[in-house]
Amino acid sequence: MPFKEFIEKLSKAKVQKGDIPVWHLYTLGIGGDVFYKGLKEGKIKGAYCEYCNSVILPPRMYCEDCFEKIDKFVDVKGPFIVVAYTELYRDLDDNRLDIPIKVALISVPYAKGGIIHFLNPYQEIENGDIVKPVFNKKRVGSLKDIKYFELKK
Amino acid sequence: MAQKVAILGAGLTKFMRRAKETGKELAFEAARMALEEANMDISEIDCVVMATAPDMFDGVHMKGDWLSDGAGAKRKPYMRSYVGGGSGVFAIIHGWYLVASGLFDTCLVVAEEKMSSCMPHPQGAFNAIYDQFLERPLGVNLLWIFSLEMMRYMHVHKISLETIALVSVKNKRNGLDHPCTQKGIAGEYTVKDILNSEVIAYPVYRLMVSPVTDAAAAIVITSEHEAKRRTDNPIWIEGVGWCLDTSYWTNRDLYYPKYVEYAARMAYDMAGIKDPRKEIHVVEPYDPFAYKELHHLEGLLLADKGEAPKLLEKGFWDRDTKDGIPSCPSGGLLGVGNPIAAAGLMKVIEIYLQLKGEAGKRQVKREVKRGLAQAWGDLMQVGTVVILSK
Repeated sequence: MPFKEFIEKLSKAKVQKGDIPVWHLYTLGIGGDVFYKGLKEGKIKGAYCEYCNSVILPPRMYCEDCFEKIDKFVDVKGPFIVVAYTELYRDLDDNRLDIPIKVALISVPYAKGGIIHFLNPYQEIENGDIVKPVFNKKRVGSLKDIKYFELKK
Repeated sequence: MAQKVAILGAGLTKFMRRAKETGKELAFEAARMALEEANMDISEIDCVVMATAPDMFDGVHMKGDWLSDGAGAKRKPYMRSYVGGGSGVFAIIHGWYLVASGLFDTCLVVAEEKMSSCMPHPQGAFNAIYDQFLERPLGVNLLWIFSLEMMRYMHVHKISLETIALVSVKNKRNGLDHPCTQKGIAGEYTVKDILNSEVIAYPVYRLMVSPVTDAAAAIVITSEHEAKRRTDNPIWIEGVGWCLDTSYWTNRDLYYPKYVEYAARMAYDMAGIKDPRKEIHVVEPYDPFAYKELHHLEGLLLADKGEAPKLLEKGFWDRDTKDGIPSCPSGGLLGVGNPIAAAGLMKVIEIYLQLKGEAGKRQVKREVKRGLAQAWGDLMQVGTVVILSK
């Protein structure tokens, strides 16, 4: 027999509760700082790599293709296109959601990379649709300064 | 038969308590510097090795993968090297066997650590390296093993605290000349200053412990024919060795790091070294704690058991020694900082610079043809050794 069951009843396993006693202060970094400051201003920023003549979204301190440093950053005004979307019916803790959350990979045709963000849950949005960011009125410099993306009319 | 492997370039970021850059960005800065020194483009790199210690420091699970684009690894063969604190030196061993095997001609070796993300202190992460049932219920952290090990080492060889403190004095002074040293770490200290600092876990004093640091380091290595094509003065990797002892720290005698001896013997054999005390001319042993430098020098067979402290008192390990072996001319972890994996690679870089004669104010006085870097860590039972030569 290839397998041996050591414990027939899970309740018989002796366990001890524990965790790893740390939490974290994450550094935004050079590229992340440009991105978050842009969001606070109601803008989506990208990086411009002069070596491959590309806009990189979200902005980064270096181009992962050319492996060169970047110090030029630009406003990315779209068009923002839904590349793929999903509808989530359960949250991180496996609770059923009353209203499914729509999440999309959003790209810009001339830019490398893209943004993962929410879609307006009340709109019918399909792959290939052009969308626009909806910013909160009160912005703090956070990914959630964008409320969601919705159809661009 | 393994092909010869050379180092062509190195890069090192400033050591900082809290860097504004992310771990990826630090890795990029170091990797970019190493490529520039080697006069190579990322497209000429065949494979990439990344050394970085516990995921819990950066707070990114599987951070080796997360760091890959910062290490220039996009669409390249890439692997993380990980033996805890021994990772920085193990990374170059890892790169060595990828090139020595003939599988690749060029390899970019990057080491990164961003310890400042871990709150309230990285000791919380270290708590979780211990046994959940036998040690963690007591609230163990890394200081426990070091203080017990230092006590055992001092007891067996009858070493005084004043002698151990001399390691801190030497390394913190050496660190004053390192351009990447962490603010507030290096300095002119006396033995009295060291022993007047706070006792953290007796007999370990605050100034006998290396700090929490953010930094990255990188090295470019190549096969012999690539090296000869690109430079007239390559620095060669002559020998590598590594060894892990039992992970039960109760089951090894703490007074002597046998795992370092075994790793060193492996590297000496590979390099054809019969008498390391004559054939190693400069050494960078791992010194996260003051006594550890002496402990490791004995494990490296550069001093008899219990003799490294006596040689320290005579200036044998000083940077300007004429007839001794300069130890930690960089300033080491006590004098430059301790971004775990990057600290190990910093030591390799110091030996590389010493052999090239490019260590600036840190250049040792005696002639150097061969040097050794060593790191240690994991569950405090791994030794990693690399020997470089002109």
